[in-house]
Amino acid sequence: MIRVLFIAILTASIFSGCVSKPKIHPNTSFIKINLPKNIEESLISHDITLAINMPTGTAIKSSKITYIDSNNLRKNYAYHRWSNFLTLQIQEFFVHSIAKTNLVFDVAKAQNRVDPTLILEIDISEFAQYIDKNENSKVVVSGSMRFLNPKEKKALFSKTFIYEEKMENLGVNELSLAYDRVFALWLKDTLKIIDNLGESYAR
Amino acid sequence: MEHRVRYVFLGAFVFGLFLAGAWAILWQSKYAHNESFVYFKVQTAETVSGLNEKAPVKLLGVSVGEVSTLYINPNDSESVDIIVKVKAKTPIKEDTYAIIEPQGITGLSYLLLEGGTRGAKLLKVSNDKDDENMGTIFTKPSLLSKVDKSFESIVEKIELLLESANKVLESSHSFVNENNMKYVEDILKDSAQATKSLANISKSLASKEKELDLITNNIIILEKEIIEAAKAVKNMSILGGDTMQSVSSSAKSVEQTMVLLSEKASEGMFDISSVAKDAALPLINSLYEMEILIGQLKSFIQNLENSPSDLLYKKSMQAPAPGEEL
Repeated sequence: MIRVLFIAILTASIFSGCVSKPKIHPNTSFIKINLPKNIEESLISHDITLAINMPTGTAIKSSKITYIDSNNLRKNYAYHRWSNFLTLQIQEFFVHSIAKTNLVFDVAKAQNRVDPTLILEIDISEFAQYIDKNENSKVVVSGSMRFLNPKEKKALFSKTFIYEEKMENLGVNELSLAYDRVFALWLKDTLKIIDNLGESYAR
Repeated sequence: MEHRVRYVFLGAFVFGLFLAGAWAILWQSKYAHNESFVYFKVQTAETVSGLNEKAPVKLLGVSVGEVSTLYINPNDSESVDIIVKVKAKTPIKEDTYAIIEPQGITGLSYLLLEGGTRGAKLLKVSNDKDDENMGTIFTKPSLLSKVDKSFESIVEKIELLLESANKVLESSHSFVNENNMKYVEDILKDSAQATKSLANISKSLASKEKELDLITNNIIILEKEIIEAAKAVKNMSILGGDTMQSVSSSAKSVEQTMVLLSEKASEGMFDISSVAKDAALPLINSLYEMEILIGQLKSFIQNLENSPSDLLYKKSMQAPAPGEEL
């Protein structure tokens, strides 16, 4: 009798697995840095071959989306990621968007076999979303950038930057749009610097 | 007079009613039938719960008798002897076997006889249920018993499986212990240092460009001097006569070689910095990728330290960010 009872309980416990709630992790979704839609072609094309180095900084050596809460603790989004490592995305963003403007003769990644006349180095110190107690949020990208003469290994121009964009609501879509706005501003400033350098510095 | 007649009829009626009742009882208990029975013994090592005295005995589904008595074999405490009463003409063969089958959901059971091939001999019959030498019918396990055994086997296998899983977990735990983590961390640190040194070497190679150019220029100057020396040797050889002719031809070949070298040098064949740069480019790409990989490995190890069981089962769930929706 005890054996029959044991078998019945065992069978019930085995088949109870069929009705239990599955513990499956939700699928991860990805976002990326988008090129600005309204990139204007430059009227002047400077005789510069620009190489963009792989950006450095620990804040961007990951594909996790980081936010900083009201207690100043760094955390990551659970179900969303950058579609690629930020360091690669930022480099590609500048290569493609500057190429689209036709502001310079050529623009390439530093890993390419091109002999550059100007090198852009980027170092990122902060790349995160800040959320305060009242759930007001903003994205912050800060760091430094410099343009180098590859022959003399001398900085032609150097500056630090900090870009902040407020978010109207919390959420990944709003976050992605805020980062897009930051990159549009950053690109605009970078193009101005290249234009100024182009007038004084050429191959 | 009339009273006495009535009592006789009444007595006859009561007597007749008694006889009819007795006949009905005998008819119902089948005493009326002149049917003879024989006895067999059924031996089983299974539990006989649900099988009682008077439980039907069926041969191929036909009711052929009933269970007479059941008792534990006094000589073997693990087996049960069932004495069955079967109609005399029932063909119980030596290869007939018995199965205890349940009767629906009531919990009662009956004895099903099966087997009994045509060619087999008839089993020894006994007219006395206490006969010690009566024919014995052996049993086969019932469906419930088979299921029971199967479950026992499954349970044993599950136990074995759990034991193996436990061993695997223990071994994985020993693999992911603190010491090994430390070693892996040390290896990663060393790799990072090696990567930095390689990057420094490639940078220093690129920075030595000027020095390399200087070396190339010196080689060219040296080459010119060698050519002049060769010319002097040539003159000497002319002056020195036939014995110096071989020296002269050697000098010529040296001169030609030097001219060729000079041409190649001017074409940039010995531009070491350019060669070094070409060779270093794929290395630099690999270093970038290695740097990213090391970052990922560090993150992975950190997660593993927080939750070692994630190596086999993804258990740890991260809390979503504010406003994060699936």
